[in-house]
Amino acid sequence: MDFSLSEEQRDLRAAAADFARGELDRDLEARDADSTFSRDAWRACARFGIQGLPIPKELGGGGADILTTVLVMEGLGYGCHDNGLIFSLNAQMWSLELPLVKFGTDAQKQAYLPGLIAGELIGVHAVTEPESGSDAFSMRTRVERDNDCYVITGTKQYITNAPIADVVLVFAAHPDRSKTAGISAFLVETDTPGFSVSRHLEKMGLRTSPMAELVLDECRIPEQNRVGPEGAGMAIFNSAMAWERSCILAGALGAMQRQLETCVEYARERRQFGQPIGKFQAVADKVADMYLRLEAARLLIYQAAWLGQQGSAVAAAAAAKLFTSEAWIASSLDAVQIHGAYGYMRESGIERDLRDAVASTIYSGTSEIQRVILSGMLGL
Amino acid sequence: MSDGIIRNYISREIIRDRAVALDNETPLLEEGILDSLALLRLVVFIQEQFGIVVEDVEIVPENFASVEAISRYIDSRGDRASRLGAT
Ligand SMILES: Cc1cc2nc3c(=O)[nH]c(=O)nc-3n(C[C@H](O)[C@H](O)[C@H](O)COP(=O)(O)OP(=O)(O)OC[C@H]3O[C@@H](n4cnc5c(N)ncnc54)[C@H](O)[C@@H]3O)c2cc1C
Repeated sequence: MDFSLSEEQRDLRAAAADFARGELDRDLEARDADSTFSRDAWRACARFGIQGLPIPKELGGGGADILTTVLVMEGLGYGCHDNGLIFSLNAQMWSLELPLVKFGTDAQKQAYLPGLIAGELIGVHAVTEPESGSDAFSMRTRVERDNDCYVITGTKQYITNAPIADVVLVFAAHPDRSKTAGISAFLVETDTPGFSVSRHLEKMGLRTSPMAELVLDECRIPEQNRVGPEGAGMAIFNSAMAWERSCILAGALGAMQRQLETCVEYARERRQFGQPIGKFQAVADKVADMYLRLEAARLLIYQAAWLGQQGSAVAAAAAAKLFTSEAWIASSLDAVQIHGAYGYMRESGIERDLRDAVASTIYSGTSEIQRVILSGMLGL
Repeated sequence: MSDGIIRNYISREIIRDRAVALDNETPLLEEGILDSLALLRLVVFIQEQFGIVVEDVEIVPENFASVEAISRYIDSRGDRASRLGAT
């Protein structure tokens, strides 16, 4: 077994970290406080090639394989402290762009991918509703056929990027069909009559990534905007989730690496009782645990990305998402504790990582659901 | 031949209730026998059992609506594999 990365992969990860360090954190403390998304940073990421990285070259993307994409996102997470920006990028890449590449028609790809890759368009998918979260396929948003159109009515909640989105992949159920065979997905442009952002949502963390509730009131969507055949919604969702669960926390690997280095430095410098706090075993143990979590999470994510490239990675993706999210929260708490009161202060930026990490055990399937998937794949 | 293997797997591993009858036409998706997770487990089983890679775009109702549809899908994949192998 060869664990080494190619020189090109290592260079790309380092280049992403350098780029991020230079450009992306501007005014972060203020933007975190007032929940502001940075379109400049979004465009800078597009210029660097982030949004298009895993998209095939013939569709205008970077043509990188998934493992390489993960490495770049890890570099981005290391250099950039704005976890919200990285979350918004991930939401667009895994829940909209990759499903479009896999399930979209040529016309759909040409209509949306160039803009999404260039940073001119912003998008996401909308599945969750007020009454259906983990049980996503119980959605109440309805779609009915009307000649060469579909008419969609319903409410979608907790939708990332919603206030700034140009196009949303909306999942809706055909009445009188089963949960599993009766969901379809549609590309809905946000200027469609009947489409509105009904409520902006304020979050605990990831505050630079905007979120809102969406209402679709008899939105008429042309047939050519249906993605995949009728009833393919579950396949599209599962495909997106497999990639998302494998890759969405690659940035967290970078953040955890940065956290670890910050903690080591602080534990060597900060003195109490006449010696560096790192000399106290209780503090040193925390640093060792942070290292252990980071290395294990990294292996799980790399493995899930690699397996996904080979074909199927359902269990590996669930394991990577479950472990990394819980590791990120645990290490973020350790980082605050090691820094004492300073770590609890807004100005340190250390508490922001903790607030940003907490959502990771909820989005893309909660930790409980990842455990349901894992035990199910094991035959229970 | 694949229909017997698929029927057996769904009865034994997914339904797990001898009282529930399953035939080749039973609507697996419409009747909720295959939910999202069961479908993923079945796909992993098919990949391992029949040595094929099931693409995400192929996991649609047309191919997974019944044991018969699954069996037809597996046979078509086998045909494709042997045609590719022959060229
Ligand atoms: C930051 C963030 C961004 C998001 N972005 C998007 C987006 O862009 N698009 C979108 O569609 N959605 C998005 N979501 C929504 C997300 O997908 C849901 O929050 C998630 O699926 C959980 O649903 P819920 O919040 O309704 O919780 P619920 O499903 O109501 O769960 C509540 C609790 O019950 C537990 N639970 C539920 N079912 C089971 C079970 N079977 N076994 C054990 N425990 C169970 C859960 O684990 C949880 O602890 C986002 C969420 C967050 C936090």
